[in-house]
Amino acid sequence: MNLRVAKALFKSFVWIMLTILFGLLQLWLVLGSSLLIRTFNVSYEKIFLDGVLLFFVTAVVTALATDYYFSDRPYPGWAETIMFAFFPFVIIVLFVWLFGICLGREDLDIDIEGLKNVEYAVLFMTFIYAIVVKFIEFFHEENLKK
Amino acid sequence: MNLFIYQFLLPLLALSTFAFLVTAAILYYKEQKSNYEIAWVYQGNALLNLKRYEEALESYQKAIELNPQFELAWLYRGFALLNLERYSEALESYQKAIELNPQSEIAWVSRGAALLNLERYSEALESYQKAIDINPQSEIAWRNRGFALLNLEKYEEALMSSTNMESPQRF
Repeated sequence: MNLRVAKALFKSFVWIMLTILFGLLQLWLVLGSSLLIRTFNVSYEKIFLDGVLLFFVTAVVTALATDYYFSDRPYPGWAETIMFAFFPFVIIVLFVWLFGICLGREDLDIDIEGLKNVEYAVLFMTFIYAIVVKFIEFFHEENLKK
Repeated sequence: MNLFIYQFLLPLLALSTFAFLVTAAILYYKEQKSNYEIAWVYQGNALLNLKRYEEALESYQKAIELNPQFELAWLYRGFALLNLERYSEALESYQKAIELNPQSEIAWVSRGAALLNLERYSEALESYQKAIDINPQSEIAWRNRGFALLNLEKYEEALMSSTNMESPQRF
């Protein structure tokens, strides 16, 4: 692994960690409080099904895709379409669907486990999306420095 | 619902992620490759400075093979060919550089130089004029424009071009 790749990987990792830290600060505070205050209980299932994470990941995916369209757009059209239109579109449509289902879960006959699996998959996809997009972006920047 | 999730949704997600990762891998490969293109151009420049023009030309050729859209490689290839006195090929190289970046003043000036050497003075004049349109402060464009005019026996204009060269801001 050369220095540029290592630097780009490190930066993308730090970027995603800082985004998760500050983007979900309220959640960390609530979870921290629940650990310190015994009478204050937080249900992880409620956090998942209330859509807190969905709002956060929607913001991250949208920001990444929008940033690209305001940059110097260095990638070919087909790659641009897959990475900054198709993939974010799939993720966001899923978020909307998931959020709708989560809202109506009490009235609908829904398999919560299946729903959770989709949410895990979407969260994983978002994580992969963010880290890969930032890696490619930072790697491109590193290359421009030479 | 379960059927929809497991038989349609999750496979769709897997497929989209796969398409995204393949695209990212291709972009990464292209980005990596661009390092090599630049390395070939740097090597070519070093050889050009050592006046080893044939070898420099090979280096630029390698850069172009890796990325035919690499404007600088075409430009430097033109310099190597100009030094080898292969003016027609140099002209083609500059033409390609201009196609890739029509606003490159240096490509227009160099194209003019190739045309001057081919004794195609009118076209050289047009080239220098284009370079001046892009950068009215370009001394080399004004000077060579004067030289082209001199060869076209337009002495007064040639003199004006030289005067411009000394203080181009007046025009």
